[in-house]
Amino acid sequence: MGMRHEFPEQAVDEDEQDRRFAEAITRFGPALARMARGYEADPDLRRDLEQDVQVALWQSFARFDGRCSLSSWVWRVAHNRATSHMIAHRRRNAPGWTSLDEIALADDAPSPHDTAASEQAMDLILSIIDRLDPPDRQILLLYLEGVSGADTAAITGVSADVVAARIHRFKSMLARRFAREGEFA
Amino acid sequence: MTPPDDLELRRLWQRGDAGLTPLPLAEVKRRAATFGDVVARRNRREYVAVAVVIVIFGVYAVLFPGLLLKLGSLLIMAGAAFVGWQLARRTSRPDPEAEIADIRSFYRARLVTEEHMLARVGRWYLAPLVPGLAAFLAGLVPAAHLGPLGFALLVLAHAVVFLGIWLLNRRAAARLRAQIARLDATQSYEGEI
Repeated sequence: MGMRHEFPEQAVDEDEQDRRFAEAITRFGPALARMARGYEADPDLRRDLEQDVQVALWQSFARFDGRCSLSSWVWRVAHNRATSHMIAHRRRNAPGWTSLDEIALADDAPSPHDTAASEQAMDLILSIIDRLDPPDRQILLLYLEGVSGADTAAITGVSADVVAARIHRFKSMLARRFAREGEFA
Repeated sequence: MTPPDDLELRRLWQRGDAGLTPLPLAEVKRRAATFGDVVARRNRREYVAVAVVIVIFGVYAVLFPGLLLKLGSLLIMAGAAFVGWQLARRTSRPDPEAEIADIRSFYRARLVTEEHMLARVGRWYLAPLVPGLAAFLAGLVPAAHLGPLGFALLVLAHAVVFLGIWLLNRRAAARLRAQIARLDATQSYEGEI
C-alpha cells in the first residue's frame, strides 16, 4: 500500500492542472463515459459517477508529475473512483459480483433473443462485465478500450501474464456464448 | 459461427457512444472543495440515528428518577457520541492521493479498510454502549418493578440483538477477507491485512 507517499502534494500550479484536466476530458471523455457504463447500469447513478470521475481527475492533476503517461494516469484515477462507487453501492450490486473464473459456471444464464445482433452482442458483453468484481472488470474494460496488455498491467498492478489470462478467458467465454446465440453484426 | 476477434469486440464496445457530459470547470472545483461533504451525506442516516439516541436519552436523564437510570442515560449518550465519531473516522472516503495508486493496490486498501471496520464492530460500535445500557437496565428493575425473570428476559433480548449485530458484521468481514485472499492469490502481493 506504499504508493500514496511517493507522490508530491502539489506538483503543478493550478493553470497547468486545469490544462491537463481539459486535455484529459478532450482525449478520454467518450472512453470515460463507456467506462462508467461498465460500472453503473442506472442512468442517474451513472451520471453521478461520470461527474465524480471528472472531479477526481481534476484533483489528481495537482499531483501529476509525468512519471507515467497521461493515459495511464487517467485510467488509474477513473477506475479507482469507479471502484469507490461500486463499494458505496455494494448493497445494491454486490450479490452478483464474482470473478471470471466463477462466472463460467453461470454460462447458461439467459441471453436476449429479441434484439438486433449487435445489441445482443453488446448485451452479452455487458451481462458479463456487470457481474465481475473490480479487478477483472477493470482488466476487461481496459482491453475493450484497446489499452495494451503491458499498459493494462501497469495501470492495474497485476502482471502482464495475469492480464493475458483474464482476457483469454473472457474471449473464450464470449466465443462460447456467441456460438450458441449466433454471430453478431 | 465466428468468434469475435479483438477489433470486432472493441468496435462493438465503442459503437453508439453518447459521450461524457463535461462539468464546467468552476463546478468541478466547487465539488472538489466540498468533497468531504459527500462522505458526510453518505453517513447522514447513521448520524441522525446517533443524534436521536442522544436526544432521547438526554430527556431520560432529566426526567427519569434514580441514579442508575440517570447514569445509564448519560453513559449511553456518551457511547452514542463515541460511535458517531468512530463512524466518521473509520468510514473509507474518496482520497485523491490514494486514487493515483494502481487499481489493485487501491481496491485492496479499500477492502482492508472495510474489513477492519466490520471485524472490529464489537469494539467501536457495541462495547461503548454496553456500560450505559447495563446501568440503564439495572435502573429499570426498581423503577418498573421488574422481577428477576423480567429482568433476565430484558437483558436476554438486548444480548440477542447485540449478538446478532456482531455476528452479521463478522460474517461480512469474513466475506471481505475471502475477497482479499482471492486478490492475493491471483498474484503474490506486498502488504498485510
